[in-house]
Amino acid sequence: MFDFSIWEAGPAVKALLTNMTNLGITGGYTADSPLNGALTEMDIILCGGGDIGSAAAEMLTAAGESVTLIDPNEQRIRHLKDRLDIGTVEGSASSASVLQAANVATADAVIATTDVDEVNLVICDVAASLGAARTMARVDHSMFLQDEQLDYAAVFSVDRLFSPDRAMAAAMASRLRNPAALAIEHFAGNEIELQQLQVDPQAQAVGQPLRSLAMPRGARLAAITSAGTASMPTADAAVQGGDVVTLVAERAVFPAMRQLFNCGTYGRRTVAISGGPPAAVWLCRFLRDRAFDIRLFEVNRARAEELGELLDWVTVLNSDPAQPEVFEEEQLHRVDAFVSMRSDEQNMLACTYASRNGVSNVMPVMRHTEFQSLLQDLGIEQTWNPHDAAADAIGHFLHCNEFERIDGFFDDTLELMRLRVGARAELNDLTLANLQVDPPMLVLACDDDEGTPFVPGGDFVITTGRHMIVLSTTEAAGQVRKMLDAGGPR
Amino acid sequence: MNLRFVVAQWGKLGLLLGSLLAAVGLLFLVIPGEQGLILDAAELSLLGSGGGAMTVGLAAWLICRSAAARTIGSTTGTTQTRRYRMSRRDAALVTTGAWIIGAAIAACPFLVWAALAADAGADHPFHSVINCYFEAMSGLTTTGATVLTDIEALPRSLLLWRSLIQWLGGLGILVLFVAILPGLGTAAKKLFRIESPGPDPEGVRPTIRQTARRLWTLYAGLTVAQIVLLLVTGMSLFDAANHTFTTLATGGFSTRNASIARPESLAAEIVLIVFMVLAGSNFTVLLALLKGRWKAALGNTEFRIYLFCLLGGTLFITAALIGQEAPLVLSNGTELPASTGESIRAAAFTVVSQQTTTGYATFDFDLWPFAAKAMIIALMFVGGSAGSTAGGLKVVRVWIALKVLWGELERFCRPDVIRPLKVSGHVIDHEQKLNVITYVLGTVVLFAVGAVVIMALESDTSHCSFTTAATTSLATISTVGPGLDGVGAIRNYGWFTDTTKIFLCFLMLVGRLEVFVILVLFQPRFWRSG
Repeated sequence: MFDFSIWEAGPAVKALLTNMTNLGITGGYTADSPLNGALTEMDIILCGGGDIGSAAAEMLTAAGESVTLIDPNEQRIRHLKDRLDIGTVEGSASSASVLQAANVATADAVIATTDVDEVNLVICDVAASLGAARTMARVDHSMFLQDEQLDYAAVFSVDRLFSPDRAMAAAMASRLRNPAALAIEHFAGNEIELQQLQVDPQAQAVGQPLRSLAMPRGARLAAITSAGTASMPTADAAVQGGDVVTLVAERAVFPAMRQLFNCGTYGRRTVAISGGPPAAVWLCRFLRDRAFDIRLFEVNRARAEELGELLDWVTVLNSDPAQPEVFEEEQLHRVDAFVSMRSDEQNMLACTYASRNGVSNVMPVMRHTEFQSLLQDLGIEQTWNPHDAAADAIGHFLHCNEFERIDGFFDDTLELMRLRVGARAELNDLTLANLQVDPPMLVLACDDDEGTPFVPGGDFVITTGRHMIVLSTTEAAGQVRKMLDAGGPR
Repeated sequence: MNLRFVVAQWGKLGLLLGSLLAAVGLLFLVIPGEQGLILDAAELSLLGSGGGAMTVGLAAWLICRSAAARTIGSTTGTTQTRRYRMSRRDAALVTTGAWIIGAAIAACPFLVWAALAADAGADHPFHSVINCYFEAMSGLTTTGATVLTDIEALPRSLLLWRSLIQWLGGLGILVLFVAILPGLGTAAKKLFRIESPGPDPEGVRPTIRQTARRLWTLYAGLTVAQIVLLLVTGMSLFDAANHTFTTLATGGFSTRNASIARPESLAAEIVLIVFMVLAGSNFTVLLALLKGRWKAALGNTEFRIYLFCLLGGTLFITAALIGQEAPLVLSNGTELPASTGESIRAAAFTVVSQQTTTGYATFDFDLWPFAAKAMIIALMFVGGSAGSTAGGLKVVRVWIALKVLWGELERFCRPDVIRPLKVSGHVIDHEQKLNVITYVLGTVVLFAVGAVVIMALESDTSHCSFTTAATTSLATISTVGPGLDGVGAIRNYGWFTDTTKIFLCFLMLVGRLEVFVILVLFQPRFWRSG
């Protein structure tokens, strides 16, 4: 999941960060120094070497960061040390002496990823008081993420709370919500959505110049990919059936925007979820509206009752959908999507069974990537796991003040990036309408003074400190970054 | 079980009710405009009954109070006394007995007055002990069924007493007990549970004593508010006070022969409707409303369904009445054309009055179309909200029972489905479900048995039809008062035989105390020691 990082953290954390900046305790990061996050090696302390911790360590070392991992389990440490080039400290990360041994005061970030939410919060609190530049805590209980009365992040001096389960569920939910989309991204805490769709030959927009299309306010056509080549559209361009369009829109207007290019109607869809871990609860929450009819299968009676109490808009069943009788009885071959969230083996079997019996969209959660190819042999292309979601969240957090390239949408013709406008930007104080087209660039999204994200119109003024999502051609990308005084390679 | 302890509690009750009786007597003795300081038969009967009740109560309490404390630790040589802890059985017995004895005390002035007063004719119903007891029980249980044909002939002091016992019974005499008497401790909780209508209150609550006080404060506040509003609409102070007492208790005794008929003004009728609705609402919801917690109050499932029932019932009956050619007949006999305005007025008042189990009548709904009557009967079954002064099954119980039924239907095809039953965000667990189902079943069985027994008892009299028997059974168990046919809006209960009246007293008591506590007394195990 990509997002505008700092926007998601909310005003409280933003204020906290500003305070820290004023006090000069920002470590390697100062608001205005044009540090290139992508080029400078960061010192990162990871607390907890479990599934999430080791996946994060792998991702970070691959990106060239310096990682110190703290875990009380000696065996686990030895195993990780053998596999990855990381520093290790054995002990409990909530202890000040252990954190000091890992040089917490000079580290760029402390990331707590243990299985226990409360432990993670305490680690961050202790680390912050020992001078850690930035802290990030994994929390899986919704209580910490959704409390309206108390900002837990501020209470525990955590700059960012993240939940791998929630992130994975959010990604699955947007896939379920947008079955026609070829690729989906969310920015700024889901407020802004980016999707690629194939244009229907009968769609309203086909053959018409873009300037004559009534696009909703807060929506933008970012790019048209025709015959494999992506280009940024001019006002006179027109889309043809079979083209792939990249749309960016504020969440509320996305459906209206999509309607222009895709005739698909989305009626009430049925989803079957096997297994009831926390991620399933998140998924049900994300899908909570009239468009979805959800059935949740949980074999453990006590857990099923708990889920039934929690999710009263979901039909909870105390049975295993992979059993043929249950599958038949519930007519699961007719569901629009089958999600499996139990153990890897069970997910593989259940999804294969569902797929063989006529379910077109099966979504298995696979914690071990080794089985991926096996699933591909069985005809299941995409799998989901919380580690990737966590790694994404961590990557974002670490680069939140800086430049970041967003991969996966265009081959090599266009470049999508998230950046922050620097103080020496040439384009400062210009409105988008006054911008010359050379170098070609498109501002897809940005934040206002309160940090609320929106899709800007022509009257938007570029100012220092704004975070923006910018699309440009690959050749001109460096030039665009320079003109905006943003980080990243120029 | 400790009978001496139980009797001591009854003694306290006698003191309490006796002093109230005496107070009403004294009040009328000194009110200017009445006959001055001359004792008339009514005042004498009130003062005498009050004095008698106080004396007997005091004696019972003095003799038996030692049971409330028990000596322990005598083996060590030191003597310590510990307060006797009330058992569940004691509580059940205290409560049931309190209502039976309370009704007896409340009936005394009627009987004494009939014996003393010259203007009570030889055929006045109050010459019979059973009639007096029926009237008092009907008052205390807030049923509002009367044996009197000429209500207006009763002295004003007795009319006030008659309304006052409804007012006391509305919130519960033992709730008052708990609120004002010190030193009940955990016993208070047991008494309170038995008497307060509906399932147990849920969530974080203050102590039972605080709750009882809060309830009585709210009740008293509503009383003052309604009296003032009725005075504003033009009702006399006496009528306003009486009707307020019987509205808030959802009792339904009126000071007029034709029940409330056409009150002084439309405004008065609206005030009565509003306060009946309030009295039939859960008092915790009312407290939340008073504190401005609108969201919490309006989010209460029961409150919403309750209002929906009232509104739906009104619309349904209005629709049934508007079309008809026959005129609407007021309970005092006046005929009015079934215009839209009158139909709405008739439907709204009747629905509110019958569902909240108050039982006031403005129109003779016995003459209405069958559909309208069927709807009224259905609403009488449902009754008001839990935690109100109303009777009936209670909205929340009916809701839970229907949801259980719905859930079972789903389980027929999907035995593995798990769908917790939630009411206002709280999960109703298995035990509570069973309790509700048992209660509904118990009430329905009792209703059927009641109807059959009434028919059997009345087989000699010609005017007891099946409708009469069935609606009498329902109207007493739900503590409504008026039913259909022989006990219709403009009839009374005077014509029943004495045996039937005693049986009806039992039904009213069972209805008011919510079935279980009375039925448990019939279980042999209850009386076995150990």
